[in-house]
Amino acid sequence: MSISLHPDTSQLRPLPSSAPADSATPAVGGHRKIRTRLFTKYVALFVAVVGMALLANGVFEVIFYYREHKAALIRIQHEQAEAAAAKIGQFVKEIESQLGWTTQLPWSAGSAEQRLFDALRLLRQVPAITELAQVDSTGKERLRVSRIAMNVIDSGVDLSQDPKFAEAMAHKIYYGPVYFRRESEPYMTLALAGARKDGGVSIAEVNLKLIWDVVSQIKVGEHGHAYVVGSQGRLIAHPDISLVLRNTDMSRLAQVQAAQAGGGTMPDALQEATNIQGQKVLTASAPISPLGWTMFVELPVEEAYASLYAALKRLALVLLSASIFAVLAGILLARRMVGPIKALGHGAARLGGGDFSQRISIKTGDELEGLADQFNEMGARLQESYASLEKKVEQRTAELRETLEQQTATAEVLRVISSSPGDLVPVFDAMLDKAMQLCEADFGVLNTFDGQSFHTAATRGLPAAYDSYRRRQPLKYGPGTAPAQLLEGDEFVEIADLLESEAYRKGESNRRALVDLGGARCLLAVPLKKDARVVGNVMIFRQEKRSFSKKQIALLQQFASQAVIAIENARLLAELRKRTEELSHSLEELRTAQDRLIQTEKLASLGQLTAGIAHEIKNPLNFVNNFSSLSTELIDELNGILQSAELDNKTKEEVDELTHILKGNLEKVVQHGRRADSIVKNMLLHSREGSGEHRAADINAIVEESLNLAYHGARAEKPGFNVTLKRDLDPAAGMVDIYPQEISRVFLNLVSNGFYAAAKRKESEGEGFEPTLSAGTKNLGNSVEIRIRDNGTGIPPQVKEKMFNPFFTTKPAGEGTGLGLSMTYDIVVKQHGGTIDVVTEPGAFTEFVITLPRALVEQGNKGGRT
Amino acid sequence: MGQGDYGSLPSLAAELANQPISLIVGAGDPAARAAKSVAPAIPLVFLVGEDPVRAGLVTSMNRPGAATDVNFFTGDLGGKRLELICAMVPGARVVGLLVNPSFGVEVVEQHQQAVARAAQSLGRELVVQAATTHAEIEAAFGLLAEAGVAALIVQNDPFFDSRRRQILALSSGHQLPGIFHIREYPADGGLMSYGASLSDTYRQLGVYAGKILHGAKPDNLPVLRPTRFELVINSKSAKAFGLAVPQPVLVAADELID
Repeated sequence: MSISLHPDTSQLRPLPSSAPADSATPAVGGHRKIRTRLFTKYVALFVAVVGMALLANGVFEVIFYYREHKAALIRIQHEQAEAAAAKIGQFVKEIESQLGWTTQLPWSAGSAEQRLFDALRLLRQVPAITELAQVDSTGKERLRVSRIAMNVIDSGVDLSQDPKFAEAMAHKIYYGPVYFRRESEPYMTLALAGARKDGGVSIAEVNLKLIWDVVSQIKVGEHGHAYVVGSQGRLIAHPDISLVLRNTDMSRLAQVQAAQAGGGTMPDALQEATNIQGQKVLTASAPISPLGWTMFVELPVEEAYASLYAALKRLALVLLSASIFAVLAGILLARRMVGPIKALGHGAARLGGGDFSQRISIKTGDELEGLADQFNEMGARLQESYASLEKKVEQRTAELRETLEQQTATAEVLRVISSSPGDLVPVFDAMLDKAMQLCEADFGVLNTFDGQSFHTAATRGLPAAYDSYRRRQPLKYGPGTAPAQLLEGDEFVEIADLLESEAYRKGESNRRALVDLGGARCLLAVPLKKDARVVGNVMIFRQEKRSFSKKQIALLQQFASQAVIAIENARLLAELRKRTEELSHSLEELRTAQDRLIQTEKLASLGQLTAGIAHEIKNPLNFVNNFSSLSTELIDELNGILQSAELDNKTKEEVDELTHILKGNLEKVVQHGRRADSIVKNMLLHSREGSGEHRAADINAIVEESLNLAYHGARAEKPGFNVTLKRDLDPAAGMVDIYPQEISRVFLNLVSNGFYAAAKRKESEGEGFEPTLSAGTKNLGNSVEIRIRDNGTGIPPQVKEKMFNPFFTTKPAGEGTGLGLSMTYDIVVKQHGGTIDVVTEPGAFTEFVITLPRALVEQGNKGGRT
Repeated sequence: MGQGDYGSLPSLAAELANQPISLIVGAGDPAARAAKSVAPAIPLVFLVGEDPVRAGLVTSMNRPGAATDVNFFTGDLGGKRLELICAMVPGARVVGLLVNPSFGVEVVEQHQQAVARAAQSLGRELVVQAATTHAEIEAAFGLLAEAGVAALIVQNDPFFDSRRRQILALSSGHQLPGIFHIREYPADGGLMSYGASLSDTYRQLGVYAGKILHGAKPDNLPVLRPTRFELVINSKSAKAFGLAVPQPVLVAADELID
């Protein structure tokens, strides 16, 4: 297999530093990343396959080995436990058989010596027996031999009821329960009855401490041991004698409980347990019959499983070495696989990076080589097509750039148009600027045409001499000039060489100035046209002889049409502004008229109401007045009649006095009737429909009359009402041209309000407060000032703002209409052209100041409140 | 320790307690009592002949507490010894008992009473003689001989053990066959002994001391009692005393020294 890259074979390896900086570096970087991934995948797959097989094999082996090993261990332990149990059983059996000798003889006189002899010999032979008692067949103790206490012969103690004796007699042998002397040394009573009926019973106290000799001989593995547990769960024998002497209770151990539940043999499930020292052990048990004890053997778990762990270690070692081998093999294979792919990828990356001369050479003789050949072919094709494509792209890009510039310029102009509505100067400036820039002109002008003459709207880059020429005189373009040609209907005018133009040669002044002063050599002009009517032109000039392109002409035409739009926009905007202004003015007028109309309507209906009531009162009042006058006359007549009657002096005097009083009363009725009459008259006068004619009236009299009317009105409404009235009337106030009824309505209103405010303050402040209302007039020459001031509650600022609004009131519902002040305002300001001001301080006073012009200025309406 | 002088034991024990030691081994009842009273906090393993629970040296046999014990269990064998010496010297109507009161007044009193009860049951007269010094031992033997004593029991006592040669010489000098508590006496020419093996017990003591030094708690080491009591008879001495060993004694004997 051979792999190489042409033309530069040294670039086979990814060397970012030597690769072309523009394209190869990122491609090589990406290539390397892919190679690593594939390589890793290959190795991982290989390792996974091999490792899986090894691991599965290993795991199965471990599982089966573990099971077998454990089963073997359990079996061995069981056997050991049974062997050990047999040994203990033998230990007891031996004592039994030794004891058996002592029960061979019958109890008869003279044999005591021999029996003592036998007993001593037994103690000598069996060290475990601490004490031996012999009982005859009746249950009497005949002999007791001890290692510690003195020997006793024929003590005669009756043991016939003792289980030691009774059980032994019944079953030939009796194993007493294990007991602990001084809570320390384990002992057991062993009683044996003789074969003969009269052989009696031998009772031995066996020191079980001596089983130690047996259990310490039993070997269980290296560190394991055997121990014996009694039926009560107490430890009887253990290689560690201290545990036995401590009278250790083993019954809380799981294995002991299990074994006791299972009759000495524990279930297999409980093989692993914790022993009394807290060690993890593998344990097995076997019953020691017929004693009811249990033999346990235990082996530390570590020791039991030591060989298993060794096998596991071996297995792990094999697995590890196999894995390493698998990794190495995987790397080798992957390398052989990835090499050509890497070369291919690298070559493809260079191709992708634009290096079409790249050729890949792989000689593996397989599909990879075919793939490399196809790559090379593709590279050649790409190289061919790339060359032509690049040229086209360049051309297209240039075109696009140009178009973009024009678009941008147009957009810029449009933006200027939209951002400066109605202002044409910046629009023209921007347009000319852009047009010159894009058409590569040296200077340009924009003229407007009003039908007769041209006017300069904007200029750009004009040479100073030509500019001053244009300023010196009105613009005039002679025949043959570009503007003239445009007026004739040309879409555009391009003059390639002005020096050669006919107008120049004929000496047309503007053309001469343009060429001679401005140095223009060629021009391009387009008209500004609105509805086929020329309204101006745009002209751009070059100071060198170079013709304008079609695109440039079209562009200038486009700008020209935009300029027309801008001009039209500005015109429309101005028109719109004017129209809006007119509209808002007339709307304002309409509103005022409407307001007044509403007020008039309201007041008219109020007046009608008042008039109706007054009229109704007038009739009964007439009756009162007329009949009381008539009654006065009748009393005079009565007096005349009584004068002539025969009456004693005293009666006469009384009658005189009575009629006198009666007459006086009637006079009062008449007097007050007249007063009521005048009030009603005033009311009628006040509410008469329409405000009548305006005329010169005495302002002081109107104030006086309004004060009285308001005062009586207030008294009538509220009997307890009291207020101090002050008058400060200027005698020079004189006559004023007013609508008297309207003005008195105003005063009445203001005075009533003043009463209300003062009364309200009195209510809250009580006796110490004296409500006062003052009215004053003052001559101001061409006008008169009227002040109405009360010392009431004052007006808070927020109320003051709104108090002239119709229907705004601070009085409780039903007490005020909210029309008083709005009506006042209308009458004073709108009807009479006067002013009304308010000076107030909340909690102290309120003063209305009204000024009325002496001569009524005729307003829009004639004050006709109809 | 103490050179047989029990009076010096407490001060010697106090001296030990002042040193940084992790274990005290006390051999003999007086030494054990001294160590226990002076240094109750230091682990103690001792060897005594008397009941250690009764002496207040340990809390109980199976859970001894701060001190543990290898029990010699020899004090309780007074009665058995009397029985044996009476079997050996059947003609002895009067039996002597040599005691050392400084071994412990109460203990000696109990021992004395136990032996007296045994003597009574066997129909023998008991003469008790106390001795605490070399000279007193000498004098005691004289007094016992004067009292017509034909057999002698010597109390288990380390002091007596240390004066073994003197006692044995006096025993043979006064033709007083005696029974002792350890094998060493008949081995050195005494008549007989009955009791636990001293060497076995000391070996066990060493084992316990080793366990404690390896970190075992004394409380976990129950009081060890001997299981074997050996009857040793010096047949040469028996002959010298003109005694024939009777059959039951011979049967029970563990060892016969020629």
